Amino acid sequence: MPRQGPSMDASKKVDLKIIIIGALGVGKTSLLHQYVHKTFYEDYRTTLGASILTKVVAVDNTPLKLQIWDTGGQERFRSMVSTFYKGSDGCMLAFDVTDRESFESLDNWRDDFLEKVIPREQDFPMVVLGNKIDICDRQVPKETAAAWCKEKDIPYFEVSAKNNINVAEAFETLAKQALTTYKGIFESYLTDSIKLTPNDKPKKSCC
Amino acid sequence: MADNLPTEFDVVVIGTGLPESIIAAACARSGQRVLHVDSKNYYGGNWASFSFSGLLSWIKENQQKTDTDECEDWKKLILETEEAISLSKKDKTIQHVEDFCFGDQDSAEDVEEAGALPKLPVFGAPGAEGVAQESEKECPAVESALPEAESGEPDKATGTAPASATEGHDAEITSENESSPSTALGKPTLELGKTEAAPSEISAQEPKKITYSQIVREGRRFNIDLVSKLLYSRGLLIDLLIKSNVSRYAEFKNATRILAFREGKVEQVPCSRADVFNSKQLTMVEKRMLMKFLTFCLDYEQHPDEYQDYENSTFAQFLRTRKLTPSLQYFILHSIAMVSETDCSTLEGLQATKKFLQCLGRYGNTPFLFPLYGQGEIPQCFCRMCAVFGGIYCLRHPVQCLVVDKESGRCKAIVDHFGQRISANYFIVEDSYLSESVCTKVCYRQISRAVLITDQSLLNTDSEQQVSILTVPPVDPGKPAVCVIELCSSTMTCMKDTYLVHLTCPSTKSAREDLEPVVQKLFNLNPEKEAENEELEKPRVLWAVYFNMRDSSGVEKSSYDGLPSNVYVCSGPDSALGNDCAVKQAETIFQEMFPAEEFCPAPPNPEDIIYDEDEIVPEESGFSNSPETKPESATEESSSGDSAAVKKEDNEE
Repeated sequence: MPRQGPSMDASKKVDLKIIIIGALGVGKTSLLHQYVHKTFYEDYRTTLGASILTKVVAVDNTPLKLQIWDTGGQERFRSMVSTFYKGSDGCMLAFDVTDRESFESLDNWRDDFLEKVIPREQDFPMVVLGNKIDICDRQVPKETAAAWCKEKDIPYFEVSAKNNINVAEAFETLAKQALTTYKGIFESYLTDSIKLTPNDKPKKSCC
Repeated sequence: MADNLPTEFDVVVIGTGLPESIIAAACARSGQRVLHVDSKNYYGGNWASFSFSGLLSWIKENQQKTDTDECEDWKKLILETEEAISLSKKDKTIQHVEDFCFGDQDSAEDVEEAGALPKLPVFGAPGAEGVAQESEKECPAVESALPEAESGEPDKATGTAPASATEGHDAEITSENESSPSTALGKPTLELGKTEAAPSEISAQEPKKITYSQIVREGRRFNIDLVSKLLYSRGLLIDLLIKSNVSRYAEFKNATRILAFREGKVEQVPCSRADVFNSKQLTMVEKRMLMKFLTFCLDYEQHPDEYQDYENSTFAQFLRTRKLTPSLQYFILHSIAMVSETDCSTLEGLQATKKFLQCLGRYGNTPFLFPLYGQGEIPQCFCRMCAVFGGIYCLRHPVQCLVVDKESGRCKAIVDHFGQRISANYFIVEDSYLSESVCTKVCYRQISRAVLITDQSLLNTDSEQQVSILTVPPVDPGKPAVCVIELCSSTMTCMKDTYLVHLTCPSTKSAREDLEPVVQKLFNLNPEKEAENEELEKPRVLWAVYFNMRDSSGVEKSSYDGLPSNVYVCSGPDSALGNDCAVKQAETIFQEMFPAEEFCPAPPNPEDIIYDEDEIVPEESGFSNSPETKPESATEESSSGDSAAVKKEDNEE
């Protein structure tokens, strides 16, 4: 990953990995692009090329580098690599309010996620996004979705990637949750690791 | 959401091990339509890594000799102008699997693996200054019930028990149990409790008594690799990861120590300049000798006079002629060059030493990196890149056969287990998928493997979080050495207060026969018995598994019977420490299929960092912040800037 600008104190910045999961075609990539790039493409295209988008935001006076992982299309045949889940600090569950099936499969996506992540003390930070509220032909009423989320104790957001409604709020809520959880984990320091970048300068040779 | 699989691709890849995953990524990256399948429900094949329960399932599967039913329906799909090459129904690459539990297995009967949702209320841990909450939960009262604890411990434990008893009802149960240490380990109530342990009083030096139940409960914290390897900091795999930007999907830890086992003791091998200077084991004279020799090795080709007289000798013999003490010779031969005493020539040994030295210091004090969460991540990272460039992924998707056109002799399609024909121009098949009839002429070697879960490090120092490699030379110099890699919990491969130890060597006999003698030398296999002092110092093995894995590397394609020219075979893991074999294979096969294409170039859209404009002022980072402008100009500069940085580094060597 490219190095951050020197205006941020590298030692203080918190890196958080966020993943976005849900059925094919609900708008995960569009949500991501809307949040990070403030762009929206009308025609449906599967993610090609940039599979991790990064946004640096400040939450509670802490600079956060949000690394948001898109699925890369592997959800199509339920063949996500477990690498996708490992080390994630928060999860965004997305469905399409005009596609009942995509809402009904939320249980499976959530279970899948919980099965694949390394268990933690606290509940995993999660939010649910009901996307495409800009389209009139809804199949999933707001109350239904809200009830499901309340039962699981997950914040629910009605959003539109196309019209940029509520997108930033959803991401920021998740980021806040993830940061709180991150701070609560005593052993976070243990996973200080090496990230390979083409820019890395080798240390002086020791021999 | 059910979806239909397309039936036409450019390349079909069968198997998700490392070489074939690299090829899949390279193909997708160069614009090929790729279908990548695996018959299993996990990625990696023999390169995979498992949670503890996952590994137990894998063990069970490989210990059973069930034969799957033959389904012949697909034969109707083969035309008269075609013939079919059946693929294997069952994986036969793993043999002689033997697992051992050294703790009380019965107590684990009703223990469930902890899920991501806490099943029980969380008890506070107010007395736990400095001790992580997690470890408290893992070993509730067990710490305070150490039967063979050193003199101070039992008193301390009972001393603090009343304090913890005030924390909650369950604590009272545990303090009762303290008085009957023999039953403490077996009682299921300990597991229910999840109370905090006698807190910070327990000294960090004492190995925490980990039970088998705890291992089962914390099973998802384990990521146990079937393959044991490390990445050379200047090796083909690291270079490929960086070049292709696949490195973004993974993180790494430094291997922190090189160890040796001599005269019954484990010691650290000094290999970097800093190590040598700081070493308390080497005398001043030895330090000078070692530095002088290593400095010479680093550019030995410039001094042919130093070794040309010994070109026909073994490296071991050459070392004896140099001014080096026997210890130094041992370190250089076994721990630095890591070559055979009898079979390695002077030049090979010098080259191996040089490779090691060149890799020092790039990321850390040793030449090696290890991927966070285990080696099993690496093939998956390449699969992700393939997916990101349009590759379609289907696990749980066995393939019945290859369909060959009789006239041209080329493979046209596969028939999958749903009876679906899928056509393509090129086919990559991992060796284990080929049926016995195709492999009759192939002479396979084997790799002996062992995985141990232990309770302390082979070499205890002030830092518990170490990743170490130890090479144990063979008792009989003609046999292969055993490579031992010890992983700490911060590699995310094992639970806190345990270590994951991998042993590997090319097979001579069954894995247990090849490796148990080494395990016995290094570890204590009798944790329950009263042991000699010597045994007490050794780490205890809590659980172990041995297995042999087929080594299909280095097999000539012509050894396979009747494979069409557009079907390429990838091998499973090889027994070497690094990953060069997989990378070389992938590149060779890719270049054969697509000679005009570049192999895994960096993607054109490097990750952009977007700064939230209101809050933070971004520095000129050289990366484009406006993605609407199509990547060609701005990001191409930055990506070529990236590759220039890599190239420049190379020239500096």
